Amino acid sequence: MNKVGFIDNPKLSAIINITIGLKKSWPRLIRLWLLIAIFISLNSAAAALADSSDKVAESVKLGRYAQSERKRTLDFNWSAWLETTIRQSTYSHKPISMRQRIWAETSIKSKGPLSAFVSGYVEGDFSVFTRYSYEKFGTAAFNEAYLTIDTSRLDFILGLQQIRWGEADSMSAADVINPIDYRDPLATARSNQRLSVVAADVRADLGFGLLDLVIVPWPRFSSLPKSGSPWEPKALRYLRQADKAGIIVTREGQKARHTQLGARFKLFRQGFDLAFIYFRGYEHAPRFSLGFDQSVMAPAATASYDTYETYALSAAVSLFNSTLRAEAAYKSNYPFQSSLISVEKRDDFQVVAGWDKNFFTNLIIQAQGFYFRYSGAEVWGVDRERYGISFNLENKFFNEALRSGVRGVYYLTSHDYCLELFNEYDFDDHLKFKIGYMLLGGKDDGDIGQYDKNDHVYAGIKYYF
Amino acid sequence: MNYIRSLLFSILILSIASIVWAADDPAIAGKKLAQQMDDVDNSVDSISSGVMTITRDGKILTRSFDLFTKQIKPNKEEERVLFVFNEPAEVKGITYLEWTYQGTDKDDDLWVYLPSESMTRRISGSSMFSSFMRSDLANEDLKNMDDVEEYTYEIQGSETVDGKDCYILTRTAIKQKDTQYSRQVQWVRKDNLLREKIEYYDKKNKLLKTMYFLTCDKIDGIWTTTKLKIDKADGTSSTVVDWSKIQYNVGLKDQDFEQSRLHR
Repeated sequence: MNKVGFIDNPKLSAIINITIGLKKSWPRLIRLWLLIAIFISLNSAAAALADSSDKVAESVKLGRYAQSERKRTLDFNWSAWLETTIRQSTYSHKPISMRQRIWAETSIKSKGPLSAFVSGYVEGDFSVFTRYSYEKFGTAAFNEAYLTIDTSRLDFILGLQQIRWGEADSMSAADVINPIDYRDPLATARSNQRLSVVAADVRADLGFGLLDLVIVPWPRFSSLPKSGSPWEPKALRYLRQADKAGIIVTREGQKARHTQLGARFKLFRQGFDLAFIYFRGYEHAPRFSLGFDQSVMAPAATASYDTYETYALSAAVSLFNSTLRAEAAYKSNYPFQSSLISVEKRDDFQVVAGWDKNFFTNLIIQAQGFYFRYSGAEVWGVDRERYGISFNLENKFFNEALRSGVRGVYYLTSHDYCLELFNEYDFDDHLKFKIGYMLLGGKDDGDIGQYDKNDHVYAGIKYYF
Repeated sequence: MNYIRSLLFSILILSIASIVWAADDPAIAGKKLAQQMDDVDNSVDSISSGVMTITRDGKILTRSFDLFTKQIKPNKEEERVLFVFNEPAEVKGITYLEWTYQGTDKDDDLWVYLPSESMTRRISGSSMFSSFMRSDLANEDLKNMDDVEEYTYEIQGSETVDGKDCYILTRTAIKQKDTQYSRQVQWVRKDNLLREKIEYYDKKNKLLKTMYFLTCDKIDGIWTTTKLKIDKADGTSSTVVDWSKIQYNVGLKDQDFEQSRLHR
């Protein structure tokens, strides 16, 4: 019997491990070294090629436009920053996270149509030592690593990348390609972290619009919180506990193999943008079905990844010095997780509409409403209608060095909410500070309400080299 | 017969008077001057790089960017601008694409590409009051420098500034709600029609800041400002913008200003 549940299954972890290309069986130090070595190699190669042309005058980076003036073979630049963030629970008075992260990125542009971008990070979370948990202390990972072939009418973007579609400020119905990173699900009170996917994005400028064709040959799935993490969903925790107690077996189902496909046609016109979106792919978080495992003569909860199709329309309209944003999506055969441990496929209709406007000089107000509804028979544990609002209200002070505000999301149906007071201060171009308070609540088994003990204050420092 | 002759003579005198009066009308002459200033840059497209140095509270902030422009329609009816930021690290890769339309009938279109989120977003024009990358330039200063049709003008005389003979030209936005300034007073050099300095007044008619055009050069046959400085009236902050690598008429294509350009 799997001791810690399917999420700790080494095979599945190997698939979803964000250290793409670096075998997990290798010691952590070797993976870390490889990551650093790749960065240094890329940087050195680019610098060497650039310096080989030192007989010619220094030229400034002007993209591919000023090629007559450019003398360098390659334009190369890099940046890095160090970030430390502490999130302290106001409920348990223990840290939720104490993440230290070094982030580096480099971009290389050739004289021709080729360019490349690589970003990655090395991080450690000291808070894992303060609780009983299966979480790892350190991670070394690529965030993005892709090659771009840029021609006048056709661009190819190949590799590990983020592809964000849709117009909504939060609760997007059309942003379905990149999985949510559930290890640390709330980037802010109204946005989440995403994982990059290996994809080929062919972008055609048709003159009257922009056509994107996306192929994700190897599906990537959401990284779920490890056992003991403050962000471990309650249902998953119960399942893992039942597994540990020998009451139930959790296991991985058939591996997902289908290539994910997406297409977007976007029109840009005076005053408005309009996009038609199609995506056929996976719900990136696993769904569980209850059965009986005859080999161990015990009930089995099998995790599976199911496909669905999304047909969506998104629009952004400039009106009266403000922007109206809207999305409407029809998700065919979307897999819902029922509380009876079964997967129920329903057609889900999602509408999101928002408005944002600057007032005075720097006061920004963003407001958005959302309404989701599925058809067919009721799914146990899932409200047929889910609707609510999200908002952001912020201003800048002290010559725009300080950005302060409040943002959040509230489900009118379940009364789940997340509210964040935030302050970000730029001391100079290198040193940034942030401090804030995040408040969560709602239904005990709600998407947000289940984390109601994760109310926390946070403070962070970021230094750009 | 004498009556008809007298009538024709009167019409002639009145016509000459009205022409002379019109030529002397400071508003008409002001707009004509503004048009001539706008015509100084008769390029179809341009590329340039800028470095902005902001001195504030004892700290120095630096921003660098590349700028690409193209006239899409004749007579500057429609212009497209692409801003690509290189420094500081936090904003590197952020790109603004702007389609501007002459006159007050059409609102400009503006998109921003945020590399950290891999996302292109349409943004609204009301952020024009905000400062440009924390500098002493407002977004509207950059946008509206040469849009003749969005202002009324008045020549208020002449004055010598730093040894240069200048017109004093006041311009006032037609749509007052779209600007944070009540008026701008410009000193315009008579020799090359470049600005020498601009004073910006807020809605209470109090001096907000002054922009000084420090150096200029004739590049590809076009008189061009290559360095300018903005001083806040209260003395708390100043910004210097150095332009370099300026080239005109390099053959940029229309599709270089489409949304397909908004990526890393």
